[in-house]
Amino acid sequence: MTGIDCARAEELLSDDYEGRLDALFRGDLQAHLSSCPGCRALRSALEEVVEDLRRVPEMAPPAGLPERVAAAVARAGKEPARRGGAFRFQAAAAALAIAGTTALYATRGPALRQGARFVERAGNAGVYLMERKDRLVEDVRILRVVVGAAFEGRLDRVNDRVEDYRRLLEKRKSAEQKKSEAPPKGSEPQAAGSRGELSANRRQFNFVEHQCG
Amino acid sequence: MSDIDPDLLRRCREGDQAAWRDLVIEHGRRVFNLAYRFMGRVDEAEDVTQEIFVKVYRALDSYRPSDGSFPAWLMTVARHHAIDRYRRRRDDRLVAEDPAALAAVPSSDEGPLQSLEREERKRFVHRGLRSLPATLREPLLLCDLEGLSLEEAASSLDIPLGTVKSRLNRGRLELAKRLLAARGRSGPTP
Repeated sequence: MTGIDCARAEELLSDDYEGRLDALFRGDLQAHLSSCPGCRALRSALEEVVEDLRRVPEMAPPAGLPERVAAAVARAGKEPARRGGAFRFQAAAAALAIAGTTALYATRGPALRQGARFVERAGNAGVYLMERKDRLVEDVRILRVVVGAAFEGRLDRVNDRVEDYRRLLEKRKSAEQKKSEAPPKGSEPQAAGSRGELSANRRQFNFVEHQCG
Repeated sequence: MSDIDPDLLRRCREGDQAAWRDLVIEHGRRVFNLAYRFMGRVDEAEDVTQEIFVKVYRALDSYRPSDGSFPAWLMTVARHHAIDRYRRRRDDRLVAEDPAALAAVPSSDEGPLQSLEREERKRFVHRGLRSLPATLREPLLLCDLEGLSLEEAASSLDIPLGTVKSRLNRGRLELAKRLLAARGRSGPTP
């Protein structure tokens, strides 16, 4: 009687082949393989598959490719560079909206000014949410997977997902840094905080894993 | 692979046709093979190779040697374009595999029969690869055929690392199961 079933063993085969499996899981897998001829055959076939995929020899490019590429590059050099039409349209629309709002604001009374302020604030809030909607969706999606994996008791997967989230936050942070050389004070304070919390969470998951082991 | 000669880089930026010919002679083989692995057809791979170099020409002003080696930069551009083209190809048919691409790598420690069996197995595996869904095929192409790390594949495909790992495992398992099933039907080969 071993600790894992065939479905779980299958999930671990690639990591085992690559030598990335933790000692705990490797022990479980070896115990399963020693008593399951089907999974042993699958493990062996998986090795053959990866070996075959990795040993594809390089093909020689077709004759005349360098000349054809050089000609294509020369043609591309003569074409006018394409500009972002959509961006120009958006910029023109934004400029028009700003000019219109400014004109109204300057010529009308206090009630209209209050209304304009409200519209401006609502607009800013909308833009803020729109800019971050992809992030929110990503965060919820990852959280759902992490919670699901935790409920299944799949601590290795939980750690993988947490690692994914850490990478995502790093990617966002570097994107923010690229956007602005000197980011405004107080912007995105949650990014750094989340990372710290994440490390703590990861340590906690690892701790739980050790406790279970 | 060596880095790029600064004079060649300068001439390429100026659109010098002879310089582009030299650049393709030096780096075209690797780009073509990448394109071939994604597209599976020589004619499509050549089209994609041309598109990649035109893209490189348009982006060449943004390349700085301080960003890393030219071949690494070139292959990143090539990989992104190949993935994009592969995903945009509506006709997701089974493409005819060029037998030359799957020729057996000579091995000194096996006889002609084993070599033949291995060659047949390799063709079987690569046909299987072509018939996998794109989500499983892409990690296999990048990690097993192109030799990228899981992190690099995750970055190229813009999907989480854990997803790459699980899809890579599922793709390999699918091919391994097909191999076992084929052996069960017809004896030891493939």
